[in-house]
Amino acid sequence: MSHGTPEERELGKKRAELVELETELAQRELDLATLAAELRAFEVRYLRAIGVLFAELDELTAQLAESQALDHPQDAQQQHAAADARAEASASAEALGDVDQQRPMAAFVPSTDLKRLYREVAKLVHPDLATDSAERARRDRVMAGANRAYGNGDEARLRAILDEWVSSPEAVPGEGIAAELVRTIRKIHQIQQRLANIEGETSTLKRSDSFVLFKRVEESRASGRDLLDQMATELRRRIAAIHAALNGRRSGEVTA
Amino acid sequence: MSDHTADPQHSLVATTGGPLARRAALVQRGVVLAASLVDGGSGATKAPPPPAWSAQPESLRRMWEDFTRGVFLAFNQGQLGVLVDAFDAGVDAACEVFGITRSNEQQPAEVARTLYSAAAAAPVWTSLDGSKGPIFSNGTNHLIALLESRDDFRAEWQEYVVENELDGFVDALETFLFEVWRLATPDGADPFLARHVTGFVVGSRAIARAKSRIGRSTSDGTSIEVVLPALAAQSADATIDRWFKRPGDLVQRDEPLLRLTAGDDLAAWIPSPVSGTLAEVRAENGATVSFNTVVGVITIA
Repeated sequence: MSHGTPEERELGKKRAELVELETELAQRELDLATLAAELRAFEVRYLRAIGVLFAELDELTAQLAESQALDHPQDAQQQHAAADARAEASASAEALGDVDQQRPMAAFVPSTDLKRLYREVAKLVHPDLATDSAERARRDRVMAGANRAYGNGDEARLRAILDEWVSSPEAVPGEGIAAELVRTIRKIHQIQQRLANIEGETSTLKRSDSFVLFKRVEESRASGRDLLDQMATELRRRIAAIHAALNGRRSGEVTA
Repeated sequence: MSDHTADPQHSLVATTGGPLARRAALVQRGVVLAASLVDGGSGATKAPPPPAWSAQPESLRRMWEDFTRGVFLAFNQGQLGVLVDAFDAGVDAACEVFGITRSNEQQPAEVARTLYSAAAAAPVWTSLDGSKGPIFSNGTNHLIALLESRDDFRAEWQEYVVENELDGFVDALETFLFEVWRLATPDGADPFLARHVTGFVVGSRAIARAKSRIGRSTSDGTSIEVVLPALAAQSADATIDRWFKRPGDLVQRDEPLLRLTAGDDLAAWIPSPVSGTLAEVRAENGATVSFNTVVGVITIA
């Protein structure tokens, strides 16, 4: 039925298993990288559209609290409230720090080509295919670059990474059946570990608030509504209300 | 451990103080605000509880059975023809839903177009937001385009599926069926089954990928343990919906053994890893089981 030495047969089996696992790994890495990039793009979009309104609301709320505190210098509670509101307002402003400087962020929608390219890179370069630490470090570096390129939708960069890898001398494997068997088994083990980690990382992402919000927005869009827009409307309504209160105080002046 | 995804650009979840944590706080406030707008407030968008399986129209239940069978066989045994049959059955069911008579002379493309206009005119769209059919069109338009370019629906379409990506085809089919379900529920509810259309495709793919890990030989080599492979990252366990076989029954390799659901909307069938006799069922219908545990034992034929 089967031919060759037991080692050869075992190696054949393990190689087949490895090939299957490599494919699965590439797909899982792609899924994870896609989710991460989608969420990152969404987060920036959210901060630009809604985050800024929260910050504006916080700023006005702080102004209102400070104005009220000014009228009641003896009221410790009002002084505290004003300080808290101010702290919140600066926290929100700080959160937005570099958001405004960022380039406009569209939703992350990877093309089929980009995905295919990423899968190819992941299959070849994945750090869990390394069997020594220097090699792993090199793969880690290249893979991180690939992840960045993928997240930025940079097809040219991904292609360059792939080409460079394919032509590098270290991509040539060594020989010897026993050594090869050990390497293969080790790779299989590493990939299985990484697959478990990917599941963990994915579920961490999926438990994040960004994901919850992202899903909500997606779902609302599927039913023809724009949730971010609704949120903005609601926040603008609140902002207008505080504006009115502030203006009322300013025009009425010391009536309290 | 590999940490190439852990570089700062890739970390979304803020764990320390500073701007990242403050951003997380802003996002969290967004979640709260969104929830108040979606769940409370108008209340118009809150989906009613899904109708029971038995309360679904017969045509939709048939469509679901055909669809799941088609997806299962296509992914696990490479039988693509069954998907075409599943779509055909879907069109039949949709015609029933929209009260369209489908004659044998009609070309599938014609049927699909009639269906599309019926669906676009359905009150459900105008009751949503007045903009008609953008969702419905994704799946259906794709299918109509496919159908229009071919005379012999069955033979040529199978060819198309083989030549092109199975995944793309299944996606189009999935969208189409999902839409029919949505439209078939006049109040715009999102019924259990509609959710599972998508979940079944995802689940079936996962099972097909994990197939080699479903069977595990016992120490004496006479039996194979059926191991539940991990289906989804977002949940650690699955619920056994139904065993298709009982202890003592003969099973063929790749034949569906049991059906399970995981998380909110994932569903899948588990194929038998070998031919033999189902000797033991270790987790009954309705049981919740962690992934990678043994749910049954098959004696090798």
